[in-house]
Amino acid sequence: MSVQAAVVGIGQTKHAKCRDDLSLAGLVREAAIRALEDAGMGWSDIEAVIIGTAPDSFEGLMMPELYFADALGCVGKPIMRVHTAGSVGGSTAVVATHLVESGVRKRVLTVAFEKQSEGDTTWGLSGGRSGGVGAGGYFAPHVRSYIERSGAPDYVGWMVAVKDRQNALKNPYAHLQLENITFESVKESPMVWDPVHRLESCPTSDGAAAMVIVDADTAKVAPTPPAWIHATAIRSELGWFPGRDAVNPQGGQDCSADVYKQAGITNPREELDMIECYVPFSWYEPMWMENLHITERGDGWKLTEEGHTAIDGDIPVNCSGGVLSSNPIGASGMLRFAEAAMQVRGQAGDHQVPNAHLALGHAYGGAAQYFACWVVGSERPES
Amino acid sequence: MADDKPPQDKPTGAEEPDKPVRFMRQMVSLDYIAHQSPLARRYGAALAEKRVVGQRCPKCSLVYVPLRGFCPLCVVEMTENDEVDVSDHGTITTFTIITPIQYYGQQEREDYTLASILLDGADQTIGQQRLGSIDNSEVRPGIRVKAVWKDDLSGAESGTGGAIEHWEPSGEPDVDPAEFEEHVS
Repeated sequence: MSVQAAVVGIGQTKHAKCRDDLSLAGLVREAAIRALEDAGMGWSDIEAVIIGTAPDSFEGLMMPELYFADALGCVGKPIMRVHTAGSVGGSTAVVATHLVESGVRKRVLTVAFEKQSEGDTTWGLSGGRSGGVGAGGYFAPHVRSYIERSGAPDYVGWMVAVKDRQNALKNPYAHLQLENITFESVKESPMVWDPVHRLESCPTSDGAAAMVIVDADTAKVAPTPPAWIHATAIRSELGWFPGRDAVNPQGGQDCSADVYKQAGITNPREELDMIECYVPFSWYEPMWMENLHITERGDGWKLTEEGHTAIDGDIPVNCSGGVLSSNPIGASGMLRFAEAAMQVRGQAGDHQVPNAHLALGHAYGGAAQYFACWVVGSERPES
Repeated sequence: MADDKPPQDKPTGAEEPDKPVRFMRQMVSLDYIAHQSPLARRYGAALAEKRVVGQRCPKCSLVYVPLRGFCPLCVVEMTENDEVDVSDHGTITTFTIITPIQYYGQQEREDYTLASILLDGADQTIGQQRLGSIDNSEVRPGIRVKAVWKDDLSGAESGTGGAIEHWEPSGEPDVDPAEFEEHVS
């Protein structure tokens, strides 16, 4: 077995539509400083920095990592950027973990970020042209296929939209704070990409997330309880081939099956205490519950409808408010991974699931073709 | 472009005149010269003749549209020798109705439908295809459609959008969704 790794520091920005009080470098620094403070470390303790963000065209800024060495205290140290589209925040944390597990580094800072206010994501997604329909226009047909083939009632999507925004009210870092959101207000909100209403869609956000990932010897003397990394997995598939199931992609099924196997999980529904997964449009909650092997195919929507995914349900999903409440794209995957770690460290505040010991973090990206997962726990895994 | 008004692009602070402007958008116009791959050129050349061309994998016989150059399932190359014509009739497998966000440069004003279409003779859908001659509210999976070709095919090299005005119902009976369940994307 390789070196065991753990999360000992977590930081994030206040996510907002426009953080015009900070430059991009200032934004990543805000998250990184909070992660270091949480870890009881300073810049000099860090041996390498792994960063991730969405494709450059989203912000219109080429290779921002080239000028982050100063802001992230890593002049003269290795810094590397990970690229896996919207799943990048998750993949970045996985790469940082591997750097520790391989024995190459003992203390790694990992940071993911996006400043959507300074760019135009729809323009970037359209290859730098006007006339694009955005991610919603791409994913809406897949959502429709899910609804058609599962027979799910239309209100399940509205339920997810309300649940995640109510969770966000418990999370001071969340962008959207929609105190008056109701089932009716979601239903009555404009239909943007039928069948996806505006309030069933994620916002555009500025924000960053950071974690300090260390080896077991360092974790044992950390000032606060670590989140032990029990397993990581990454999968990808082409976005086009005959028979590709874009609703329930094989790559996502394989990624979660692999991470459970490594973590010794045989019944994820029973053994996981919470799941933080990448839900940019409300229907992706039931879709991912099937893809992540929490329910059988066609049954994901029943979990939502029966309240099992609520913060007080038996398999809480997206207690932070999720991507539906904060979407700094490059950071969104890492925020999922970080929330899972916060939960098993007992530091999730008002959105804490009581006695959470084992949690899944999940991210996806591209044409639902890139996947990253990790399982973190309060207990050190057996080696 | 002179008639286009920037719709929602007020600088931050415009609603708060007593506060300094800290954030401004600057609109630019970009012209591109797109260099097409040999595959895209051949696909476009066929469209200019009102033909939709695909490639049949020499190993598994699945037909790819548009031209891909390789079958990722068999990991074999597909060449000009593997090209086959497919129909300009097909079946809608799924769709979305777009309410166009009025960003600067947006040309669309009315709601419109984009569909995934499984062309007859193809094993892979083509996505984001514009429908016409049908109310958005009438669209459903399983409808049979046919291409309405543009009169001016000079833009065909850019792909189906440059050659096909839209897809319209062909009048044929609907297909049972169970028949295309494996082709949702």
